Amino acid sequence: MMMNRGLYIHVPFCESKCSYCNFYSLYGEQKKQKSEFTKKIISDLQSNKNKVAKTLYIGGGSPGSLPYKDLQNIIKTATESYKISGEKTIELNPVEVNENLSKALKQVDINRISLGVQTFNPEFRTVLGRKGDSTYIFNAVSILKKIVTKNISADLIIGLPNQTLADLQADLNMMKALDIPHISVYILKIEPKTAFYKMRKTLNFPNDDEIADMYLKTVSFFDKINLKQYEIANFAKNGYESKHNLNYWLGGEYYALGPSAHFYVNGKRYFYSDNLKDYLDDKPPIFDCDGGGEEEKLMLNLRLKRGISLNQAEKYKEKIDDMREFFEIRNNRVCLNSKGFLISNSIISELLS
Amino acid sequence: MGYNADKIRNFSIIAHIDHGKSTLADRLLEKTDSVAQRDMREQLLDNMDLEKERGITIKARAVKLNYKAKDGENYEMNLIDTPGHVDFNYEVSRSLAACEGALLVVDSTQGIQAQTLANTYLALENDLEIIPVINKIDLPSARTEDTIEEIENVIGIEATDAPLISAKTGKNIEDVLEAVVNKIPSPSGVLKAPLKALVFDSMYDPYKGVIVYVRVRDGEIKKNDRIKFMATGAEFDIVEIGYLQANSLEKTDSLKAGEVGYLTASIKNIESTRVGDTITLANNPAKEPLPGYKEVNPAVFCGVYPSDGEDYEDLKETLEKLKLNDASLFYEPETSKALGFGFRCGFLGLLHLEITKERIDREYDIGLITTVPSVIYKIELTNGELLNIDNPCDWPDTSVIKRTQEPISDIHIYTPPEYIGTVMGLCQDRRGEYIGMTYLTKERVDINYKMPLNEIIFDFFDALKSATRGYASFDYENAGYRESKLVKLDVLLNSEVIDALSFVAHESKAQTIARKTAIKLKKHIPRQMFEVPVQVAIGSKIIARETVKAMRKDVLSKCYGGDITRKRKLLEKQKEGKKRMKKFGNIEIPQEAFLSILKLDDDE
Repeated sequence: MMMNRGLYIHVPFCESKCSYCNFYSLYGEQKKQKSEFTKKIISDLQSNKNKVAKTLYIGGGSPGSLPYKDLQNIIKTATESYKISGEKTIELNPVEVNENLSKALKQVDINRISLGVQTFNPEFRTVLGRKGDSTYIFNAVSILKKIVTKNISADLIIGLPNQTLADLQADLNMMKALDIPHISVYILKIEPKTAFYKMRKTLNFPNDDEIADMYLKTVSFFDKINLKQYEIANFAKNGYESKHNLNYWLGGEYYALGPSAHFYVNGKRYFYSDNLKDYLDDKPPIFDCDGGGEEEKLMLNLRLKRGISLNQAEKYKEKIDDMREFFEIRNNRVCLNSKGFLISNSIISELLS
Repeated sequence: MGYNADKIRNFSIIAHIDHGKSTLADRLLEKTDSVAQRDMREQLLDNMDLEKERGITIKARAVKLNYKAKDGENYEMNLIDTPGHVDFNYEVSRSLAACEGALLVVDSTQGIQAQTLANTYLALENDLEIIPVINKIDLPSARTEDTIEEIENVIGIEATDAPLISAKTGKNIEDVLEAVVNKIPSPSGVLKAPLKALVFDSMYDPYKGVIVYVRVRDGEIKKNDRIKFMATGAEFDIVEIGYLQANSLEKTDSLKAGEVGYLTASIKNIESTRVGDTITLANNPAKEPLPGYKEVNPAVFCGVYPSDGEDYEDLKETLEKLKLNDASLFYEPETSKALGFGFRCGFLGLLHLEITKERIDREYDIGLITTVPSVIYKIELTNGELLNIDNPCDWPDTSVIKRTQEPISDIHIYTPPEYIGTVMGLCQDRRGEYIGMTYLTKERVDINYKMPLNEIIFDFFDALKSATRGYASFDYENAGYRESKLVKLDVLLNSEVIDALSFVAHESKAQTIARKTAIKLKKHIPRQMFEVPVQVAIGSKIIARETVKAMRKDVLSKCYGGDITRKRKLLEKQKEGKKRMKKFGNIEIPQEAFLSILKLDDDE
């Protein structure tokens, strides 16, 4: 199946580092670096000869921290060079959103926004290192809807230190109030080299049972307001699923540019080192591994509510049957239910062992 | 240097663990130029990595030193190293039997400890001249005077002129060598008498076959002689004979009364060269063997299984190899419903077990699962039949058991007086029977109990160490069997008996142990996809129950373009992890769960 490839551009700049984040980014003003980065990305985009992508995703870091002109330039060049005709998403931090930025994005036909909300709770925002309060979030959504697009997604993190089910409910209510067609929900993961990692012994993180309860609550809450789960962490109104991200889970190939960005082309997976200087110096990407293959496909496909075909499931029939309490059959396809999603690592490794 | 028995000195070094025996040996080698400076590395006599790490000597070694003494004469000294642990008492005793004297090394910061005494008694039994050596005098915490006093009071040997040394810095090492020359008698064998040579160690060499370490008592042994091992009856023709150098073997034509050396005779099987046996000449045999030979039998048994079933053949080969150097290791194939194919192994004691396990894991890189160690229980059935059971799986049905007996040990614990209460409490918990208590000095008490061996192998050492903050040491020896009400406990996971987890306990403790076992297993068995009941039963009666809750969360919630290979690696790791665990139906049990049963005493 030849799928439509995506193009991912990693913008490695942030205003400040959040306590949970282990993505590659430089923070502070970084004026010179930003301009060198933009120049390099533009030149890389322009040197493209025949590559074609359907979707564009600009992530980071925080792409909104680039000068608007630079950002427009990158999006425009990418669109032209890769003949992008579909979804064009940009990640934004609500505190960066204003009318000027919105207009700039509109001019280059951005048609999807991914907003880093994470939580509305002021205490939790402080712990996470997120700037601004919930008014910024509501204002941002309102401006973006008015000027750019209604196709907005928001990220939510669950499993925060000291978070209770009641705290989660409050966040869910606020999410509902945003009235947007897409939400991503991530379980907080303590990554090495983050501030949280250093503080992990002193912070009171919810245990696995509590987190599982939070997740199940989230899934059922969104289901009721018609945000249907279509992937382990993603919920959308019909037709608002992220095309760019779906491509990952369907096992499709994708291009990428920028330090630490991963790409998957002609069956091979590569990545750029997480070092801006290496990228500016044109250091070649690093070969990671061969992609594709049945196991990888199974692992990715089972992230989706769409699941796998009965054909694909045939080989694992017995094991699936042993674990049937974690599976369901929908539209003649086999997929994990919510309890199954929660322990999907164990289930998939069991299927593959 | 020609043969002159008057100029031979055979001696050993005895000490408690860490009192500096191996370091002193190093210094003696250096001082006598027995090893080129460039070849000198720490603790030269300890060849195995494990020995260096644990600071103990596992197998005895011997080395010849040439020393020109202050009296101007050249002496041939044979230093025979001894293992420093109770499990190897017999080997120690045979090494000592090859000597006329022993250096008793005592750490001046610690004074007399359990093995100081145990080894001293062994040396006295062998009529050795004992030279006390006070070590670590360079340390600020050294209590040299007190240590001398302790030696004189507790052991009853003169210590006022004991060499005061620092083996670490090399201070006063020459005093030690002079003491060896002046105080240890030369060997008293009869050169013209029929050959009697004591086997005090042996090792396997892939090219030469078994290398037998001997001390010639009487007579002479020459190349090409046909020799006979008096206990095993095996006969061989000598191929090579020589002296033991620090890093090599020095060939010679003969070994005469009083000398120490090695011989090879194309011996393929170490079993025929038992330590303690006497070698004589086949055509002119001695009438009597040297005294003291006994066959050492394993006292502690456990199942040893490869964590990955595919390693079975490798494990078999490894045990064969270990056995070549370790006659006291016993093994035979066994199968377990839970663990598959493996081996029932017998060891001299717990340390011997641990060392063997670690060597298999480290030197041969085979992951192991070992079952709960067991002693040999004697069971009399109602029909009069007598059984020796070393594997709980073979325990007969309760209804046919008339009575059960278990091995008892005579245990001495040496501790500072402030821990007497704690130690006695610990011993009583472990079904110890108080025998007596002796103040060795103001600071050290010898507490004597009779205690079931079964209680000692269940983690007694760690429990004692932690109860006394490491200050107590202990030593034990077998003291026969005693009738005892014993029961077999079975562990059931998901209602299925896991044979490899069965163990034997005293009836009075069954309930407590069962409860602790269930709690421990619950803690160490990772949550599975399904709820798992953990039960402990005697026969069909469940006496403890816990539940391992079902796993609720194991997910990578974020998975985009950059996360895919990471997720794949994670799954690979999970798959690999599964291999290291044993699977029972749907349940995966890591090695820690097996080990946890051994350590019932901590926290909970």
